[in-house]
Amino acid sequence: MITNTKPIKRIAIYGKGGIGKSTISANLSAALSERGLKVMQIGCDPKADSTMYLAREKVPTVLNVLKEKKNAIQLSDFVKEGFNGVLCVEVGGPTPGVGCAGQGIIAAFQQMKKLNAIETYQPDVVIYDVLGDVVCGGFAVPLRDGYAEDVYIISSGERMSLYAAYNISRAVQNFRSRGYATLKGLIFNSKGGENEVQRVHEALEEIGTNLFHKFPRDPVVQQCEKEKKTVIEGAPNSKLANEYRELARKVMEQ
Amino acid sequence: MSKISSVFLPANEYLGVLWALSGVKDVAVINHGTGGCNFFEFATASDRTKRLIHDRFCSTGMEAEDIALSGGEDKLKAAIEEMAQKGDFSMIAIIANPVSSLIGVDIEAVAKEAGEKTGIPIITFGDSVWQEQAEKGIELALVKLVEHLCADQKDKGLTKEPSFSVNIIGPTIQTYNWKSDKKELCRLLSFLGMEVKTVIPYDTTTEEIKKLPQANLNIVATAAGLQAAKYLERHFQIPYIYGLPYGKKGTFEWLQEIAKMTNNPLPMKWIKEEMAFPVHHYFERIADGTFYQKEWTVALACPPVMAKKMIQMVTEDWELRVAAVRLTTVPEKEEAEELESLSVPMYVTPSELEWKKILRECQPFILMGSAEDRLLAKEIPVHLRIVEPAFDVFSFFEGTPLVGWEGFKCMTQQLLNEISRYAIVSKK
Repeated sequence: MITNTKPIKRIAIYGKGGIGKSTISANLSAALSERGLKVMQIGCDPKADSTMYLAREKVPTVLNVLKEKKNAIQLSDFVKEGFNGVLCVEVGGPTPGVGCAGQGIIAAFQQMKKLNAIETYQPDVVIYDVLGDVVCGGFAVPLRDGYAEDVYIISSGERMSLYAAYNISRAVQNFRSRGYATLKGLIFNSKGGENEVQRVHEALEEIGTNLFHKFPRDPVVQQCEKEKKTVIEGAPNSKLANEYRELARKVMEQ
Repeated sequence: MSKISSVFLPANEYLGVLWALSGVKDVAVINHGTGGCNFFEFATASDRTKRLIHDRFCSTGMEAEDIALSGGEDKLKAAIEEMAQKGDFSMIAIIANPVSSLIGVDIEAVAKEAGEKTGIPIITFGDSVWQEQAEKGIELALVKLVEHLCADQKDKGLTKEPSFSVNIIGPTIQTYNWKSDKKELCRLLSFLGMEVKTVIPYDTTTEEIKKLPQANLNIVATAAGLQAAKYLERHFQIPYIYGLPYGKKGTFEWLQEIAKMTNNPLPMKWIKEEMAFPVHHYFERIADGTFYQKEWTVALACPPVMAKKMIQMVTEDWELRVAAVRLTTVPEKEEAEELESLSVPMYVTPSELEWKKILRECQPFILMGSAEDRLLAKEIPVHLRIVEPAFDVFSFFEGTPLVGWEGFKCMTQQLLNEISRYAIVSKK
């Protein structure tokens, strides 16, 4: 077994489905890799599309590989290298209509632990991109047991997105006394709309956290995604790419 | 081929943990989950188990709202406090049962908080106890107990026992015929001037586990005991021997190995007397001598740790041929290579249908295995019980071992009786 001696930055990014957390996570990973850091991004969403624009293709999910190969499973079966050496992992989920997605995360994490994924690849940063609509025991695993230390919630000003943000913050607060992950702030991913900024600021007050970063609505995201690229890769000189770089800088300062 | 198990009842890691903890008499066991959702309660509702677990095994009895809303953490905390208040226990073990495991209850955190409040040490078996077979559960429980209770013994200034003492690691309440086997092992070792101190986890206490490092030798009876023995070797320099003695020659070789490891002379006069058992004289006498035929073959079903010596006993002491071996668990790499070198058809954890087919094809006269093997092949004339599950036999008497020379005599006697009975019945 390889012993990991260097400190690892462990981040969990939560948010309602469709709010842009995978886009931000992937661009954050890409921006961190530009800084010379070895990044591992672990998508914790049954959709398994967190790393799609980093890896340029669907990465085989841990759960599917586990189902297929059972004890013969190896790290190389599901850890794939993407843009700028970012290590891409997708937990995956059960067959729609059956099983339990939360338990899927638990099982996948156990498998990665058993195979010493972190010790083997020795990343500088691990980013967990987690679906935040449901904060059941399984989806809360990245918050516990030392998986993530810093938590960021991504939200727009939409009511359902803020509702999810509030729920996630409650889960983090519940775990605070146990010495688990800390909420570092809310990342505002603007979708436009009336009173959006005001609603976000009211939510921040209610949650009791700060606005960590704000991303403007920018069509460059869609343009790059059409090419199956992150903004950092597809439009490296854009204003938005610099916003992701700024986020990377701030995250590393935490 | 179907992998359905209706005869080979699957026993998982969780069950192994429970079997192991059943033997540690001052550990309270809290099963966090729904009441009744517990195969252990059903599968081991026997007098033997009830006596062991009565008043110290409990369920938190989760209900629908606990599952949906809170994970039953309040009930778990209350159960810990209640068990601690009883004052009868030195340690509490918490096991996540299927329900709490599925919803991902953070039992480690609850245990930590409650442990600080009550002051009682708590070990936990969380949602990872569903991945492997029972053997791994026993191994996990043994390692946790040993690490938790022995780790600080080094700092306390370890003193070795004045007499040459031995621990036996691996047997649980589920180990077939253990009482008899233990008696025979104690007898054999006493002739080498050795005393068995602790059998873990079959029948022990936390205080006895703390004293494990004081022993001079560990005997590892099952694969599940290996990791704990390696821990004791690493931290306390206690050597270990893997496997138990079976058969006439096998027992002699086992004692030779122990004598060599411990620089003890073998008491040859006694050994000569013990080994003077004229097995073939008895074989030739049964059923008018008409049924002792060299073409009788034997099928074996047992774990890898037992297989080598059992094969040796059948082929060298009984001089019969082994037609097939069903390994009930997967052997370690080195173990597999050793077994392969014996040139006996060996099948690693075959399914019921596969094993049934193998037995039909090789048509053994004798099948040595569990009650499940008997259910699958009732047409085989002679059945000998050597492993669990053994629900078709009683084993309350301590004088019918499988191990050692007494074990060899017992098994031979049982074999002869079964053959004799078959001979008489088939003549009619």
